[in-house]
Amino acid sequence: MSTQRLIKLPHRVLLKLHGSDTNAFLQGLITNDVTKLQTQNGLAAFLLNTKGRIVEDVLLWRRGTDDLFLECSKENKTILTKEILKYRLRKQVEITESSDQIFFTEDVSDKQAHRDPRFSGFGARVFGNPSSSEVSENREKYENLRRSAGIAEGSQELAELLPFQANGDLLNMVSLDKGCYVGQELTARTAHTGVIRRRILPFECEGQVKIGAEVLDEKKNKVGKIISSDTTRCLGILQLSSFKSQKLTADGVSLTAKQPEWMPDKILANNKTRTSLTDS
Amino acid sequence: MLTQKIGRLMACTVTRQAHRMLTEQEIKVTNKAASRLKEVVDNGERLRLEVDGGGCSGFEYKIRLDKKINNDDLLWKSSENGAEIVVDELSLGFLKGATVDFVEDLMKSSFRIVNNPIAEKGCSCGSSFAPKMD
Repeated sequence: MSTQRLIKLPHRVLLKLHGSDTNAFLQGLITNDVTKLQTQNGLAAFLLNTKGRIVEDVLLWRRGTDDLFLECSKENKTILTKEILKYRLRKQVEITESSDQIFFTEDVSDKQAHRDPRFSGFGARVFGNPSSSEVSENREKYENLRRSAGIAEGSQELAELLPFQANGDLLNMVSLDKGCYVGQELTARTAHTGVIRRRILPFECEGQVKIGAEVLDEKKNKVGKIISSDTTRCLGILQLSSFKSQKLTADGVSLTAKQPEWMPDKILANNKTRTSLTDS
Repeated sequence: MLTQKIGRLMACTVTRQAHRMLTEQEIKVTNKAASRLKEVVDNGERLRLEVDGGGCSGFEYKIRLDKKINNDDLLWKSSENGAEIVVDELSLGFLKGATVDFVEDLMKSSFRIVNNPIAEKGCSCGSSFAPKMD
């Protein structure tokens, strides 16, 4: 166990972005402020469509050179690359797939570790091709940790949701003062005038739940939907007003909604009255 | 020395002739835009229309005065007052059929690209748009 400290993430892929316009190009596309990478080596963000809905969540990594490395889900890589290149026009940016593999480690003291920019309690990434004795293929362990932490990831879980439903505001994925990017208009309007009634939350469950299963309250009203599950943990999008409900079920399995460590109490307490994310 | 100069002059003439003129179907220019353009340009300046990635709808218009003219530029010239507009080929792909207007409203007075048949959705400030894709 202790020697296999790196969990291989075969479902994630690194794309290398190279060229003099890389930063300016990404700044116009993603929800977070790329200039933050001058002082930190990781940045989480979404790529939205023009309607303000999520195409994919991305992690950007700086690894000691001018190039940026964009981590995304492998299955959505082709679509994402095509979507990004559509906006390139005459900007100097080249995208190539990196041969480096992606690993997760809980040991953030590692010199090569890039701490997760979403939530500091969620370990770190290591890139490269480390010796096989250090590597565990137990991806399910990573997924279980991720579900416990309440962090949704990848287009399968997030596509077509709104950035605040995916907790982008609480997981450092959205900047509200960076300027224009694709989908910014709706996002800014939601932040300043909207009420966020549904968010992704982690659940404890008593068995595996089908992806897409509806979450029902005690009156059998539909209050949410499961987006990821194993036999003890799920992630689902839930109406915040139903958070305290004792009798949630999905697919016939009992569920208990949990408050993630990074979610402030006021998000759950003021789910009807809070009107602006920019209020303190 | 002299031949070099002549050579350069000739090259200059050749490139100028190579610029294809924009047709009425490609870019329309309102009278207001043409006369305002004539007022604001210095000698040798033209209005350059560009489309670049960015803005809240994905693509944004960039409109500026420019003295340079590149090989892939297409040219429009006013038959009334001789004012000129240039568009590069790549940008024209996103502008075909659009109208250049000069708009004065409470927000700003500026040249603007309006009625772009390729744009599906604009943002409220009018500087960016989403094209109808494939």
